[in-house]
Formats: sequence, structure tokens, C-alpha cells
Amino acid sequence: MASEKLSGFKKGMAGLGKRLAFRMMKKTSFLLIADLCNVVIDKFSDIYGSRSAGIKRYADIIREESIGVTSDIVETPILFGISLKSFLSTNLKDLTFIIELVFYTVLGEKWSYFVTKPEYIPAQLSGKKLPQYILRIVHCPFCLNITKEKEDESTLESGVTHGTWFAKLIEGIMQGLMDYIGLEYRVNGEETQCFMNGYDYGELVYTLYPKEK
Amino acid sequence: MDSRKKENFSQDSNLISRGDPQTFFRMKLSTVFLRIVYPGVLTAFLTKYDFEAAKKHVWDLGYRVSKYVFNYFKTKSNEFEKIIDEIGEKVWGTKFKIQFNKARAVYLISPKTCPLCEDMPPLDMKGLHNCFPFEGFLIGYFELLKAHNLFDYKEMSVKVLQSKGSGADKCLYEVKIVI
Repeated sequence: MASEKLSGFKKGMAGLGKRLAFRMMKKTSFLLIADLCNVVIDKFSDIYGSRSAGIKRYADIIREESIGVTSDIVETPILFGISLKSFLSTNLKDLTFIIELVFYTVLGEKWSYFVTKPEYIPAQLSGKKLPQYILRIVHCPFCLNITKEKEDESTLESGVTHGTWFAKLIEGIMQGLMDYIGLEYRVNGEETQCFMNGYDYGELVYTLYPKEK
Repeated sequence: MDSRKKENFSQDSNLISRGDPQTFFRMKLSTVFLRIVYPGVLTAFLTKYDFEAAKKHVWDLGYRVSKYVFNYFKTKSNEFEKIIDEIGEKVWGTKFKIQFNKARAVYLISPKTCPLCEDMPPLDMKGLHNCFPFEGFLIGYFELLKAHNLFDYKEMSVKVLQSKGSGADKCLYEVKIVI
């Protein structure tokens, strides 16, 4: 069962565990996999009739997969038989630490070249009066090769960006964690800023809606 | 106009600030990530198309990825075995064991670890393997080496003989190349 709040000791243990976990994991080039994702979008765009439809279809698939994979990963031992579930808590603020832990475990110490640690906005301070998380993409392997000739952002449907699928990937991870912990929230994530729309960084915003009974 | 688009912005004007390809190329990603972004794609192809058409789409994933990769990584060697070594180490993130079978005049290549198989759910489907895109990748990449006069050959074929993701003890590829 998840604790109510992560202690400093547990955070320290997790800090050691993430380094060992990344060292032990099998790895490949990040850009190779980013390219694979872009190729899937290219193919889905052909198959489903438009760039927007291709991105949305991939996003749907990925959200489902990431929910399932997250619950598996939570159970996988990362440090002397201790798994990620030992580092979960029901405190929403701790989720920023968990997400950072996931990024380190998957990308190693260079993860911060890609994204920032998520920022937690408590309900009382958020515009929607619901708990939110903001994640910034400081450099993006998914769009660094995508020129206008390849994908014209002005032709995408409203609400769809090149990074919609990645926003849904993180949404799936967060939803998987919420479900595992037993928090009754439905996570909704969207990319509110994208390099390809002229911004200096990408921005993903996650809002926690109470699940309907 | 969509509020998420900056006005008067030329889409390609900030390509450089999006990140350094070489930095991302050198960054290592756990293959666990592939469990999220890859198996559902295979299922989508197999659901939408008949088996042979789905196989072509899976093969084409690797073929098209090679075109992206060639933009930022070109092998330095002009010997076949060394090129395969470079691709294994730099692109695939593994070491390849390469053997030449004189009797059949083919190279047998086996990766120490396979990113497309290692952390994947098993794929029990005769004739289709998780690492099937590797066939397309090698064909596409060597086509580009040839087109750019970096390596010349007359003919080349690649075949995934067995795959860890389909229950074999290791992945094994057969490459026939006529120089």
C-alpha cells in the first residue's frame, strides 16, 4: 500500500535505485526510437487519411499501452528486490518526484536535456481549480527533424500537435500510477505549447479530474 | 486561429533550438520505453491488414527509419563487417557477432541484445518477428551508403532467421551481399 507521503530516506533510496536501474537496463539510442515514432506517425497518416488522424490514432494506442506497462514497471524490482511501488505515495506533490524517477530510470542522468521536472499546481492555485502538473520540453528529439514540408502545423486539427502522442504517453504513465495507488482521478494531458508552433519550449499540462462514481 | 500557434511564426525558423541531433543520438533510452510505443503498432497493422500486408508495413518501419538515421549518422568504414559493427554499436546500441558462412556465402549476424525483442511481450506468429524492421533498416541504410558513394555493392538481401521475441535463444539475421 502506498504511504501518505514520501520520507527523505525513501527519496534517498530511490535516488540510488534509479542509477542502478538505469545502469542495469538494456538500452538503445533515444533518437533511433524517436525516429521510429515519427515513422509510425508517417505511416498512420497514410493509413488513417490525414496527419491529425494518424497522430490521434497513435496517441490512443500509446495511452493504453503506457497504462499497462506502468503497472508492470511499478512491480519490477530495481534495487535489492525493492520495486518502484515502495516509492509511491498518495500525496499528489510526490508525483513530481516519481515522474522524475521514471525519466531518470528510462533516460539516465541526461534526461534533463529533454524535459524539466514536472511542476505541481495545487487545485486552489490552478485556473481550473483542479490539481495540475506542468512539464516543459526543453529540447525535443521528436520534432527536431520535422520540417514544414514534412508536417505543416497549420493544417493540423485544433487540439492536435506533433507531440500529442507523447503527451498521451505521459498521461498513460500518470494514469497507471494513479490507478495503482488507488487515487480516484482521471488524468487528462495535452500539449499546450510546441516548438513547431513557434514556442521556445514545449509544454505539457496534466489535469486531474475526480473520477465519476 | 488555434490559440496554440504563435502569430507570424515561420515553422522551420527554430529547427536549431529544438535540440542537437548528436546529443539525442548519443543519449541512451531504456528499451522498456519500446514496450509502450511499439507492440500496439504491430497489433494495429495486423488488425487493419492481412498478414502479408501487415508484414510489409512492419518491414517498412525499419526501411523508413534508416532514412531518418542517415541524416545524422553515416558509418566511417568501407568494409561490410565494420559497417555492421558501427551500426550495432552506434545505432542499435549493441554488439553484433558476425560470422561468414562460406558454404552458403552469407553473413550470419547476431546481436548481443536486441532492442526490439528484449523487453517486449512475446510475439508468437510464424513469419513475423519483433525485430523484422531490422531487415528493412539494413536494406534502406545500405541503399543510402551506395547512393552517396560510401559503400558499393551489386545486390543485397536480409532475412531474420529467428528472434528472441519469438522464443529463440537469440536473434539471428542472414545477410547476403554481392560486392
